[in-house]
Amino acid sequence: MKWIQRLFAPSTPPHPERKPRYPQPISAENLGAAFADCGDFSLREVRLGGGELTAALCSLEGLVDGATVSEDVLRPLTDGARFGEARDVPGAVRLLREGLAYYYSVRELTAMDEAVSLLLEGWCAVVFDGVAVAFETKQPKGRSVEKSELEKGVKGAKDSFNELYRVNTALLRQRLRTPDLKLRERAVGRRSHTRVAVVYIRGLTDPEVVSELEKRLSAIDVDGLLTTGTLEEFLLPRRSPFPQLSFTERPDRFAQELLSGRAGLLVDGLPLGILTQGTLAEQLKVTEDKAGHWLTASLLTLLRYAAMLLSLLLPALYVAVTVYHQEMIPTRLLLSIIQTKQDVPFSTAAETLGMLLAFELLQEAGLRLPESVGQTVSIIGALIVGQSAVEAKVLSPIVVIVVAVSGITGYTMPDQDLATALRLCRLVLVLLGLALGLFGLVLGLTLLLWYLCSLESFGTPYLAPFCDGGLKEVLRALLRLPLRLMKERPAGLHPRDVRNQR
Amino acid sequence: MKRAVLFLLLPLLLLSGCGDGRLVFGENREIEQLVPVETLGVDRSGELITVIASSASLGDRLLLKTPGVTLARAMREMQNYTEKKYIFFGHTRQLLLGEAAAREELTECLAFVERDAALRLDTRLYVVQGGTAEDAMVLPAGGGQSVGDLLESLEKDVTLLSESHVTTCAEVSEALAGRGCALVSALAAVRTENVLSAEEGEAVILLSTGYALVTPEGLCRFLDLNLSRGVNLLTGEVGGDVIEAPDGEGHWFAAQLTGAEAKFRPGYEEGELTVLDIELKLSCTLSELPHTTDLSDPSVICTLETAIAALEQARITAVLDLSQALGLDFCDLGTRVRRASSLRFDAMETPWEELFPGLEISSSVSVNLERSYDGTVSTVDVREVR
Repeated sequence: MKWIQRLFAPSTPPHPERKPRYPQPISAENLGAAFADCGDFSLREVRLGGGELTAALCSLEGLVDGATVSEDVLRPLTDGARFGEARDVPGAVRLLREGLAYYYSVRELTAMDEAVSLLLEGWCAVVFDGVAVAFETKQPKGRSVEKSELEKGVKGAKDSFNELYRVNTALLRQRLRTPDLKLRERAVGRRSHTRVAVVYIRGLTDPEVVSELEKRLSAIDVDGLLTTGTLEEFLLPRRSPFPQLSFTERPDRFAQELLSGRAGLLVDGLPLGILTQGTLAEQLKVTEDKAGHWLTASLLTLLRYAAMLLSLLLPALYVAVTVYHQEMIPTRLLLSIIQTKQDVPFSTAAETLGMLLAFELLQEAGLRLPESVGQTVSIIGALIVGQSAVEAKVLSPIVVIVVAVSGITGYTMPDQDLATALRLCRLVLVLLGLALGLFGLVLGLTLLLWYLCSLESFGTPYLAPFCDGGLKEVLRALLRLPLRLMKERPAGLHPRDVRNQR
Repeated sequence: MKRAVLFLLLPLLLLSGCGDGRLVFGENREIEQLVPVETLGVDRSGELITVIASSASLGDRLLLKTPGVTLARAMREMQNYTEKKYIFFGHTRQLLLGEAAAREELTECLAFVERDAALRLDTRLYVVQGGTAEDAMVLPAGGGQSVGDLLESLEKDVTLLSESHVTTCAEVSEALAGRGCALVSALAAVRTENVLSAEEGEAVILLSTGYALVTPEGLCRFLDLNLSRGVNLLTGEVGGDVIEAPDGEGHWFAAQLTGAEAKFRPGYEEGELTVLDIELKLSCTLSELPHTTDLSDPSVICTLETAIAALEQARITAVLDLSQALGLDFCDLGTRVRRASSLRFDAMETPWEELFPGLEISSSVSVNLERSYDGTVSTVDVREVR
């Protein structure tokens, strides 16, 4: 790995972030200079109350709601009756702060950095020389709260996070109406200034996890934080294809996991809640489990584990057994396979690898294309091409069945990142099974297990509780026990308040 | 981590088959090139052994027959008669020995199955009575079924009818090594007109003829169906055998055996086993009886039970007589006697094999007729001491 690090080593020395970025005193001229050549920057001179005192009303068009700025800020500013008392700047600032403009959210600014930052967030500022008063006049831009696309629920809530940070926090607050729900906000990204909130429940979440999360967040020094991958790569010391952070677009699941003792992150612009201490057991559970009866939910959880193993192992097992260990196949099945493979020109290895790659390509094509076209591609690819290939004896039906079963079982994974990691491992296991038979498969599984045991997320092993928990915790992971029995939160998360019931 | 992975991968070098055009592991074969053999037959004629292999590959029955001085050579010779295909013995389900081969080649065949990497120890073993394995594999043609399928069907039938009990090569080898004899399911290819669907009016089918008694020297003798059922009574494997017996009034009735439980009570004197009492309890259900029979009369039930008990008593007496006369404990009584009191059994000075031929064995059969619906069920006890 060192050669890769050498290959990508930067040719320039690191440059620490300059603070403050704008050392000049706050003024309309300096703000104009900072936003020079910014077509959306608006600066308007205003004579306060029609008197001698002037100020500049600054904002970024598109980010602010123009109508409310005109009505609730500009009109009171120019109203002589209301502004008559202000004879100097401190007096004007006092009047503005005390409610002259009709805005509940007002801040007095003395630093340029703060002013620039707030303007970029959609505030408008009344700027004097050396001081400014900002009002939160941002206009919400983005989708309304919609149904979750990735995590569909039957009996649970239907709403999902969207790209608006404040909407997301509101959705969360609706579910956890307690002041103990804390949102520690900070801006990440030198140029993007993305707002990120560390979300946790005071008195419940392990404070060490919260402080570690904040420490790692503050260590992130990148230009922009625009994707989850950026956050994941910089938050985790070792990034693995297996997701050590869980992502959810459902606020109910996010709230539920906070109640379990996890800490979370909400990022402005991302329609997802990010949860720390991601474990395999947690990623194989769905929110609906708690909505259904415990017996059916337990059965479905076990089915998901079985589906995970099938998705991971079936193609590799097929290759290993058909190429090396034919005696393991039941006689009737063997005869059936032999019969269907008689006129197929490709070897088992070529067939299986080709089908796996074709499956991945189909999936990728379906994802990238618009929904309607994507479905057509899937139908053409899976049904027409697949069926034609079998009828033309280019492929044997058993390979199509194996790859299809493996693919479908992969779709049952609640976490898409986990499903992707399984697809990657499946391909590696097929190659090992092809080279070494069952020996290779077992070797691959051993290495995979070893690797998974080495993963951890904020102090919680990825395979918890299977690697470090007692029987109670393991049963709790494998089944959905009656809620009356689950009086304690998962021990692996080290919650400060252990009990969740009386 | 890196060192550990390399350490784990190190043994793979030993398995490498690189260089001869194969994949790394070596013994890989494309599955469509396989011809999986389901049934193997072995016959002896003079100095030569003939091996017949049957495969249901490609939907047709494929039969290959090759001679050789040894089994191994004859089996490998088969490879020459298939085009680019690989004869695969890993799926051999049944091994048929012709009568001549069973007399002379039994232990060699079993040893070969044990040593051969492809053949399985759980391969079912059959002896063809009064014929060759080729007869049993070639003649019952037609119907689209392979010999393997026919034998699989026969295995279920013999268990149901309590005609014998199909044993595997491993079980036979173990019995030969342990008590010096074993029972192998015997069959014969029989011409019959009873198959109504047969096109030419006569068909050849495989029928069970009971057990073949084998020793390390080879086939000893055959046990007919009556004796075989007697053996199964003592071993408790009665299946669903139907017993027909006279009801004492000139009619016949039928009962189905549902269970048999034999209790062994050894008697020791001065540390030596002197007497063995076998108590056999049979459970039956009435299947068929004359409409005149009054089941509400307890004496009628008693009569029926007595008739069944007498019939089965005769069977086990014949089996025990034969076993003692031959000096071969093919019913594995020794194990059951030992199980009754292992400390005393192990402390005996005279070994069981020497003691068994002259041992005084008494046996009794009690019958419990169930599901007679009318009347109280009684239990009849028939005792015989030899």
